[in-house]
Amino acid sequence: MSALLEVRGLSKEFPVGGALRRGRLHAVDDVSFALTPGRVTALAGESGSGKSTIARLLVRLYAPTSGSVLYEGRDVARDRRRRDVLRYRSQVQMIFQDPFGSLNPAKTVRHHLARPLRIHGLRGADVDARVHELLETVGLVPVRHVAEKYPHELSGGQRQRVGIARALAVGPRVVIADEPISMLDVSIRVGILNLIRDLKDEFGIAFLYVTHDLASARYVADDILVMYAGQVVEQGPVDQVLESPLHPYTRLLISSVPDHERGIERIEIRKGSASAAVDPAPGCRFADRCPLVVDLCRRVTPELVEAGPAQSARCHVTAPSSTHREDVHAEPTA
Amino acid sequence: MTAALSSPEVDGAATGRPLVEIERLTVDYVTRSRSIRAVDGVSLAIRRGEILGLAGESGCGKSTLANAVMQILRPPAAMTGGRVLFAGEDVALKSREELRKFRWRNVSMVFQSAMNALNPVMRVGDQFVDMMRAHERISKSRALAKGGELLELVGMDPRRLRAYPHELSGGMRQRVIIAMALALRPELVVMDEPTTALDVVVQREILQQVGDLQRELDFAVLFITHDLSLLLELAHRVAIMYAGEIVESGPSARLRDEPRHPYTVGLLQSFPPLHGSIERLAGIPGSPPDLSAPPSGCRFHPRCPHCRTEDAVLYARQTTELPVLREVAAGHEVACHLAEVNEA
Repeated sequence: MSALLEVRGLSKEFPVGGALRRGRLHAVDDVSFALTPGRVTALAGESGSGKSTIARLLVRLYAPTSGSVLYEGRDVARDRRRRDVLRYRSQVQMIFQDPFGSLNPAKTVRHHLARPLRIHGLRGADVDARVHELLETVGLVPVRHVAEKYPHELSGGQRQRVGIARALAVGPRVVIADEPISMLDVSIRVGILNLIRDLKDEFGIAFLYVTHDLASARYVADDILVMYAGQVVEQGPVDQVLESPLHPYTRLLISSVPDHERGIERIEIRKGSASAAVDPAPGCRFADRCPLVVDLCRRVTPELVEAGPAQSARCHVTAPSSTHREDVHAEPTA
Repeated sequence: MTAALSSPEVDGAATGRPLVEIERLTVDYVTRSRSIRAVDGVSLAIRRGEILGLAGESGCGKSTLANAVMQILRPPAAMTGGRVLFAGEDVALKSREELRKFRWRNVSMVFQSAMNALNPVMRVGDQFVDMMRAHERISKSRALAKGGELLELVGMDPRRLRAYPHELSGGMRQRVIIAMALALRPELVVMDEPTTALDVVVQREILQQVGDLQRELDFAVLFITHDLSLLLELAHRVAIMYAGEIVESGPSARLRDEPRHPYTVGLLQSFPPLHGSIERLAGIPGSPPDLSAPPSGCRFHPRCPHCRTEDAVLYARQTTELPVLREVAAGHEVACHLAEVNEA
């Protein structure tokens, strides 16, 4: 299945600092991946990894500093006409993290779902029919009852389902889910994850699932990209990456997940730089926290290197590139 | 190579009277139009040096319970029944002066967001000084020195005393408030969702730190969270709270391996596994009840897979009679009609 949404060399920088110390935060640094219909791609990382910035770049809330976002092969950054922008927005939709913050407290559920339909041209009785259909799809029944409710009358899980229904309203082919369950009670989360799985299977939607929780990523996703300080540090099929992680940060993330089934591993606590992505110097951004660090890591930025079937990692030690192997063991060439 | 975060086994030898005894505690939120019972007849004990986990979801009453222990309930919340004993003394009978000493010397609290506890316009060191001088006669320089020691205790550089809270990362701020909570070596530290807002790696670091400190200084912890998986690693005993009541409690290993209440079972099945086979998880259908009109009988019955009209006799009990906590094994209690039937 060919890619529907392709990201190539995407970068986003923000100016930071006060009057005297201006710097540039490389929030997203040369990221490339593709989203395919009927597959969920997880984008995993902690705060400051760049994952939320990528989500916003994909729905055009930010413009890239460099690189491109290609939808059906066309660079969407070139779109200037309202018609083209509207079309992209109808095809690529977002689900937000805060189920309450993303809904208007003064409007009913019906209003929230009808509005995007009207913006994209639906009228009259068609709107009501579609609203009811959407509520059924996300399991909010009885539909007539729920449609008249205000956000504060719904539970957190119900609100999030409204957010999902709204995202599905105009029939998108790509849905960006930005930490959709992190603000929900634990017993409710699984229901939302199951809904995402069902929507992927039933409608062939391509999902980007942004999260800091690897366990939920494993449950819902087919592929995973692990991000650190703006860069992709590992990517591949989700089971493969989680069973055989190459990058030390991926391993750290895995061992940090509470896993009462498997028992506990102590992690090595190292002092890390939270600002590794501000005016980054050459070298690996994870070097300060890495248990495998060698001298090369502080001098040369590692590249993303394929190191297994469909799996790649950005690490001199576990996924060395052929170039740097030669740099390290330098011998005069003829 | 793998060392336990803590050893979650029950301390066999009961060391005298529990540090905290909560007896049939009831807390209501009373407004002009209605009264909501947030904590309904809860009895719970915390032993010296033990980590008791209290797990429950939004609105179950766990934070209200913690506030009652600390005696920091604010209107419209009010204790309307039962009592809380600390080292045998009823905390509600303490004078203002006694309470001032009680809070922070005997019990201290760590909240979810450090910014709820830290003054944004004061350096961290000055806040330590403030806090210590409020409780004992101590010079500023001595207090700062102690502050430095406390930061080292939680794995931070003592030079960070000079920082303002906003200059520290979320994880570091949380460590600062843990250090402040330990300053006067309290016997009990109440932690209410202390790591919920933090990234998973930072969360792991903080939990590890708390476990190490607890073993070193031997204080008791009431650890409140909605994330049961954290408690199964860290706590000696766990109590599960639902709609204002304790529905199950016992050693954490037992709750992990032999949960008896359907809600506990449901919670344990809500965590997608990181390893092993992936099956479709059921979670728990529905949502926690509105406490202004809780379900009749067992409050969990509308969501319970074992509540079926076909089992007429059991169904009648489930929908009309509140189940009572009963012991099903040593130190393991469950409030469930089905569990009772199975025991018989």
